[in-house]
Amino acid sequence: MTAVMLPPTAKTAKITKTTETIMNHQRENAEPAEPIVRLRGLVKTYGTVQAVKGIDLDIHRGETIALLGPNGAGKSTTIGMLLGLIEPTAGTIEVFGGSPAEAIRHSRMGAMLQEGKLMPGVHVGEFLDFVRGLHPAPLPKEQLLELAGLRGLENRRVDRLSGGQTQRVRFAMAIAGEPELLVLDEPTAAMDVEARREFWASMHAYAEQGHTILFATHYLEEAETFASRLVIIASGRILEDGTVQEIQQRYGEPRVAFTRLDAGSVDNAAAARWLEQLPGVFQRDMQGERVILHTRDADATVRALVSSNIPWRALEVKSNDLEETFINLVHREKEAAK
Amino acid sequence: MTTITATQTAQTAQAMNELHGRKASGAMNDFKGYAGAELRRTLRDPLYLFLGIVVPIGFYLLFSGLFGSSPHAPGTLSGNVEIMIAMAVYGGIWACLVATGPRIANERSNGWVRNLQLLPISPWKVLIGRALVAILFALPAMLLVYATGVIVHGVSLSFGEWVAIILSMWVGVWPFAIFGIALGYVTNETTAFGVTYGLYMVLTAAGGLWVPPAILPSTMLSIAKTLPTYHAADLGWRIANGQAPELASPIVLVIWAVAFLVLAALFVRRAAKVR
Repeated sequence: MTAVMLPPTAKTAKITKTTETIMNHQRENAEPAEPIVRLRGLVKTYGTVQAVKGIDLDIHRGETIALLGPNGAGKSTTIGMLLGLIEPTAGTIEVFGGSPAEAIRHSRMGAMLQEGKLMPGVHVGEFLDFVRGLHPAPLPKEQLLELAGLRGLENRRVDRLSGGQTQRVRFAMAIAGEPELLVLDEPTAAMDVEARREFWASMHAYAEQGHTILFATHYLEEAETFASRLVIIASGRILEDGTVQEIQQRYGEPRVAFTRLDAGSVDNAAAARWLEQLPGVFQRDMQGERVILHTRDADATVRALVSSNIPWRALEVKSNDLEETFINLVHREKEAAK
Repeated sequence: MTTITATQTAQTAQAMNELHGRKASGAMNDFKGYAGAELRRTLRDPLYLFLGIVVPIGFYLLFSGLFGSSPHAPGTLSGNVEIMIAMAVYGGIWACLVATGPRIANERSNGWVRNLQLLPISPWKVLIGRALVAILFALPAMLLVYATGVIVHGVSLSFGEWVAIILSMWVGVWPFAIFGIALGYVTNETTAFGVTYGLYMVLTAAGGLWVPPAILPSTMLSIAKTLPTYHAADLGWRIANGQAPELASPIVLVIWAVAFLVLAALFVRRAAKVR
């Protein structure tokens, strides 16, 4: 616990202060308090199909996590279990130290599903009044309409909205009780580009207020742009878990490319051997004068290249983009699953 | 050190509870909210308005036009009154069923029920809210049939008889709201309407709402007397005839209500487990 690491004086002082301070203090600390969500050994089997094959995940306060994976990766099943909608075959789920149902009942976890109609026949305004009425301390209606981008739609029936508008009502339903943890399953699936942009702006505003967000997506771009942490999932397993940079570093091995000026004048085989021995290099491609070195340490490779006496020009250092990394990772997992 | 930490932990937890207002939310508040929203949308449901209100009145006018004014034996009801009471029960039951069975089945498959699980309202409160709304909508459906009787056929009963008829028959159709909930959880969106409507027709026909019970063969009549449809109407028939209802009526109705309740609990639980 954070408290143990504080000097005693600071600790006693904090006790008298407000919750806000205590929570902020926990948030500030690099070694954070207990995770607010703890998934352990989560497995879900449908008949003979294993949709989720053992997932362990901790979520800490203030994180924005993207659960990224191709269709059928097990994202929705995992989220369904986290929300208490799906009974896990094995494993445990703890949300704010209790069950998912408790977290929902106490307005601490809110969620938005990919599908599912809203109460047909009622107007948007009536619907939000109903949802707000369920929470002990709901967001003010004006603020809710503003955040979800629903101004001017209050008198429309919820079953007569466009896909994007429906999603916004679902979003409003999810945040009406101002939950500390917001869970979204493919929130932008039914939206066009403009709606998507507006939606992420709303989401971003909500995250800014210090709320924790977990969202599933198969759009890498969304994950990369909006998440502070990426959890890549395929075939029911977590393949990678880290920040965008961490994952890129781990998998997106950079390439060092340049054009040799001595291509015709030296022994090509010897040159190739020499290039392969540069620090970090594990693969070499030569296309005429152009050399591409795949390296695990671009800095060391370039340093060695510069201090060598081989003549070169047009040096380029490129890292694999996340998309390539993602595709490779998922492909590898699928091959392994075969 | 440990004690301070423990104190702080306790205080943090308490303060967090306060911050997030985690007292049990107003038990009645969420409940009223749900029933209110249900009420509004039922008013906008053309199926309810048509089958629950227009059809019973239409049948009443049709049957009373055919048989209503035929001579009747002394001490028995005129066709106008007898059919009015039968059609009021017929309409009231449908209002109870249509607001529950097909609607629940539909919302179980279209995902609204699932979305409701993400809100801080207990599933039982939702079910009670649904039942209440169904019951509430049965009343106008029945009142409009009585009004048609008075306006079109000049049915005249004493004030006390009207009050007794309106209230007892209204309560008499309540078990069907529970029956509708049970049906909503055992059918799916494609079968719900057919199954609900089919059982409704069977129960109302066998309960003697379509044919005057007096002309039913004795085996049919003894079957009718075990059914809630018959007894809901028999309450009104007897009151309109200046008699007290039979004790059997409330007993049979309560037995059916309990049976429906057991079925509903069974189906709701079973549906919650299929995941």
